[in-house]
Amino acid sequence: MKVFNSDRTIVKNFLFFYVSFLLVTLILPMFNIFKQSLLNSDGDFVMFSNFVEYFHSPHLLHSLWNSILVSIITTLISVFLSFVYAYAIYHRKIGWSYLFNFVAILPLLATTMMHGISLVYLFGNQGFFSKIIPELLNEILGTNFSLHIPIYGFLGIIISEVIYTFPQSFMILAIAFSFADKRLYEAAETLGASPIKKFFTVTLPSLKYGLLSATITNFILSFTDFGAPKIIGGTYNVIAVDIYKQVVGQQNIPMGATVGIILLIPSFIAFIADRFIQNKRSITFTSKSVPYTPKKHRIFDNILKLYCITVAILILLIIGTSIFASFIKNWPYNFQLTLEHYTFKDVAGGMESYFNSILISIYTAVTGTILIFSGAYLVEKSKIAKLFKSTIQLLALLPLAIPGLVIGVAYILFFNTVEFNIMGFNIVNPFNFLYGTYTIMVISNIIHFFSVPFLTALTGLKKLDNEYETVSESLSVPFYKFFTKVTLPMSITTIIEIFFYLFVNSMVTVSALVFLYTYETRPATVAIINMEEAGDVAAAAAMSSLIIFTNLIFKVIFDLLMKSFRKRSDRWLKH
Amino acid sequence: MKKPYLRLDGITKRYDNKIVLNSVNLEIKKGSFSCILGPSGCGKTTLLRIISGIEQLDEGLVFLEGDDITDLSPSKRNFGIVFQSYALFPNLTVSENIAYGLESRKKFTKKDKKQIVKNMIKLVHLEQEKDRYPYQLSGGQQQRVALARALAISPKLLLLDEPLSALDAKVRIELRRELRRIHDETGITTIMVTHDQEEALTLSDHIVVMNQGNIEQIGTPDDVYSNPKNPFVASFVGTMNFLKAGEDFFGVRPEKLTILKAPLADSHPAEIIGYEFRGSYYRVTVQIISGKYADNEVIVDTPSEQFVDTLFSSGKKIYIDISEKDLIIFSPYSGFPSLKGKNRFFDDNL
Amino acid sequence: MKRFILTIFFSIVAVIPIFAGQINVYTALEDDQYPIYLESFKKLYPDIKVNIIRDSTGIITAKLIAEKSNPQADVVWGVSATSLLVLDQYKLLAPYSPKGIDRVLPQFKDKGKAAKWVGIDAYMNAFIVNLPEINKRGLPIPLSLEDLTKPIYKGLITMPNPASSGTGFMFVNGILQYMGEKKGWEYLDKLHENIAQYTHSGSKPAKLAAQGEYAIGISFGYRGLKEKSKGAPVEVVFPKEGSGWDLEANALVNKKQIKPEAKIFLDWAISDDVMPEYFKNFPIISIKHNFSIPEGYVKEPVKQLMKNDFVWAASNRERILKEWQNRYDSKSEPKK
Repeated sequence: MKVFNSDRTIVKNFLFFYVSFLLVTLILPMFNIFKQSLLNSDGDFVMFSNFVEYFHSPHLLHSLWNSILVSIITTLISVFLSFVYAYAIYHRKIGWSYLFNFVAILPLLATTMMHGISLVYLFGNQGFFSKIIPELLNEILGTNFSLHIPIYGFLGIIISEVIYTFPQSFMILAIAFSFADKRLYEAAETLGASPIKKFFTVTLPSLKYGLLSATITNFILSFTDFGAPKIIGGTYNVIAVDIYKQVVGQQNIPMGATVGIILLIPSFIAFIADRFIQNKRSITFTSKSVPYTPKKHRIFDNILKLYCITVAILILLIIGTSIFASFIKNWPYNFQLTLEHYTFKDVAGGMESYFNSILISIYTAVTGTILIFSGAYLVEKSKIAKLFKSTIQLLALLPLAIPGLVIGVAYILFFNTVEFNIMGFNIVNPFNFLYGTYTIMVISNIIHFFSVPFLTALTGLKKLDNEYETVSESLSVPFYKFFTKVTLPMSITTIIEIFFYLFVNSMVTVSALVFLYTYETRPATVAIINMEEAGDVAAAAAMSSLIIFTNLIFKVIFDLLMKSFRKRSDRWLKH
Repeated sequence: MKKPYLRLDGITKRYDNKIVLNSVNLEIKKGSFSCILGPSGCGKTTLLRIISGIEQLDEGLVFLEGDDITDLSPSKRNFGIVFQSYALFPNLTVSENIAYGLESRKKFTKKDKKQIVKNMIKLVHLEQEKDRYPYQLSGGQQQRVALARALAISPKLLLLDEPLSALDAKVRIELRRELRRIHDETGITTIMVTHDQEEALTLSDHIVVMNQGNIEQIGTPDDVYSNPKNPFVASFVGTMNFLKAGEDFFGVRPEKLTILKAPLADSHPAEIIGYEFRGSYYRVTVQIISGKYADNEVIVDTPSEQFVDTLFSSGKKIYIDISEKDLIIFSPYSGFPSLKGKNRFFDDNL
Repeated sequence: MKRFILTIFFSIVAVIPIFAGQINVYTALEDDQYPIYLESFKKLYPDIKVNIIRDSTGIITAKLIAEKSNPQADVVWGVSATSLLVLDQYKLLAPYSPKGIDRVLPQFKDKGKAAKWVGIDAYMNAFIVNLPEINKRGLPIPLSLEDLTKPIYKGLITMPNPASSGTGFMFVNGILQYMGEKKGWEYLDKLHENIAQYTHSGSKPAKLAAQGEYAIGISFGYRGLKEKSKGAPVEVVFPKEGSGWDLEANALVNKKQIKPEAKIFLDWAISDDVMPEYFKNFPIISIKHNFSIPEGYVKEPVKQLMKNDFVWAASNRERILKEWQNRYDSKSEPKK
């Protein structure tokens, strides 16, 4: 007697849908961009001649070296700064951790363009430090002092990228520090190790993987960032902006695809390296670690506190300048306060683009959370074949290796094609209708930000006993009822975390969207680029401020929600 | 004879070509309490999961009251399952956990459901705790909730997967009695998986002894204890001495042996080589010096006073009485792995 | 199973807005111009939904070329004539003579029987000079192209990248046609020494000058005058030698389904409903008129225009851009 089992059918259907979704939104576009990089603009197969052309174009090649240089220097500075910052807060436990933490992650809530815009206001030719302060001093002292800071270009990009990458490496290192095992320190102490010796023999080795991971992350982030160099780069070309110039500026799609592939290579290597490190790391951390509390050392701790305050002030200064400037009538000629830049009259995008961003971010967060959580559930809890599980898991982590710019280029290439020529057959592209819609931007965001929340969901689901499903099934309770009654309430913090992550990142991202927007669907971040391109810097500052305000409100709501829910679910899971 | 309630017919299960269950046949009577007993890795939990439908089988058939239920999904079988880890839903209270399986059943009214939950709570003595969350309960209480949850749906079969092994010794004994009481009150056919022979002996109507994917013996506790079919069963259920005499191979329980101060007709000279105090009795290790059973080492359970007296008056040289009627005869190559060294006897699994 | 997949599919698709009777209009008109122009169209044809896709001239051109196999645009509105000629080489333009084309002066429209493009106005290059910045440094206002290459202006000038910006291209094109190619490139080499930044858009140099971020911006007249009228301390200079210029023109996009709404739009785009609005921003429009010259422009604007052969510009555009990029785009260090 064979019995039709509706739960298993649903799982099967969902699996089918899931794999097809990832196929259409990830595999096919990426395959296509590889293919395009081997074609010329007439669609003929030319092997690697695009790459040959790339390496023979001095201006493109120069950008590659510039990008590598910028990324290395950014990484060194940013990892060092965040290491000391995290060391002070999580290892020396100097106090004010909520405040320091909050400020440190602020840049995550802002677009990278905002850092560039602030730098223009601070150090540009009419900047606060480069013009206004010196002129004020000259007036008082009667001197003729002038200051020129070459902020457009190398210096400006470095500062912006350090601000951008700081929170990322800070978070990685913060986790690494909080895993420090007290027992090791006690052992070292009983063996008579000096503080310096302890630092080098216990602290540093336990952070090895955290530091490596932070280094890789920072390198890739600054290597692939588009927003800041677009604003502050001046004539200092970097590869991320080249892709934009090739694709948007000249619509040279094959070269855009080629540069995209070149951008992809380091990211991909880093992805593999990072996966490797993550695997190692999970072995070294045991759940038996006992949290470490250091002995207080007043002078040393106060120096560290001073350091943290300085870093925090610098971050607030960079973020705050754009906010401040957005309320100034006409920098540097008229310092009256005004709200007129927030009307976005006569500038690209206008207020609609802000609402577009909200819409796109909410859609991304809602559909993304559903997709990502259910995918993780499929991998972690369902009874599908191992092969499917590992395939989904691999596909889910793959976006970590793909920069947003490459996703954007891959999407226009894939979704704007009406007919594919596959082995001599013309096949109509059934997904062409997505081109130029909100939907494609939502999908690109979901794919772009897929991996991190996917891992969050996996971790969350791992905490739930695998027998819950079995018990529920044996009690003849339908799957959907079990899911809503047990899984969802138990995973609420994970879900909120994923939702928040997707929302905030969709609000600040520009890289993929800059290729996918239309006049109707233009998001705020693209509007910022357009405004800045048109020279409407104050409006761009105002839009950047709107984004960070929105994200701050969300962050406060998020923190409050998490606080109440986490307390409850932590208690539930206590044994 | 009455038809069996549950019948397993040639159940075979492989994991990556490794045979976990090797054509297992089993019949369970209605209303009985059966224990599947065996060491870890013997396939007992897999067998239980196959009965429940959670696990798919490779070959064989499962019948319930004569119906083939082999391909029926767990949700269609209406069996209650209790796991070692309790698997209580942490976000639901005791009452909510118990009511969980009733909710999607349309045959009950709201009032019915309330009444059932109330009855179940009473059955497992958790009236005080009904509004608490699992994290507020002790391990024993949590297992009672799991039991009540499984029983609330009036299952056709109650399946218990090592339900007591995560608990401390004292709670375990207490809950053991509870299990039996609840079984007797509800009359639900129950199958429990355990590796604890004491649990199996005290609790069940029938014991199914398993080893390496095969059923070694099925019988009442007394039957299995007194007449083990082979050395494996003999050693796994209770403690057993194995004696070799020429080509012959015997088993004898330690409590069937007697230590004598002076020789008797059938006694054998022996030497005490060790002993441990066990409260009411001593467990004494003895080396037989000469006679038919020379060179065998056996353990003897002797009442404490008697042993102290013997030790005081005779020292280490004693005699041991082995009565022929207490010997269990095994064939010399009955598959018992080794008779050397410490494997000579198996202590109970405590 | 099918229903399940379809449900998910449609819940995703539901995000797409659907309108009836809509046209996609690609334009390079400024963000602060076209909404005002469009007001009268919206009043006259409330049922037609106009989707504006606006970007710099170069980008709109490149976008149309990139989409040539599947044109998204129905109408091109206010894009430089040079670009339209380039598009014509790709067979992207459909001949259509809008109503009232007879009023358009012959030099401002395609010579064909059914016109492939029709001009609406002409716009020209100008320097936008920030007076406080110039005065502070004690420099004279540059009045000619020649002045711009003087070393005293080193690092003070921004100009648009001709690859992305129509304003940038018409400046480079103007120079090359006025001076001849050899001398023209020599001039641009010298100018390059003084350039602080090449911007993406044609407006930005004017706005940078208005903010004082860079003292001199090579832009176009309208943008400079607009900034000045908003109160920026700038002077708009039309260079002595003449200005590079181009027409802003309209065309119908050649595609399988040409919508009647597209033709309605093109008719309207050269009608008296909107022509006076063009004129408010540009002193030269494509029809005979007796409006008075907008404030700030030279008195006889037509005389300010340099010689410009559109056909030459269009057929050499790609070569010029490539040459320009090889000469100046690889500049790595920001100018001091």
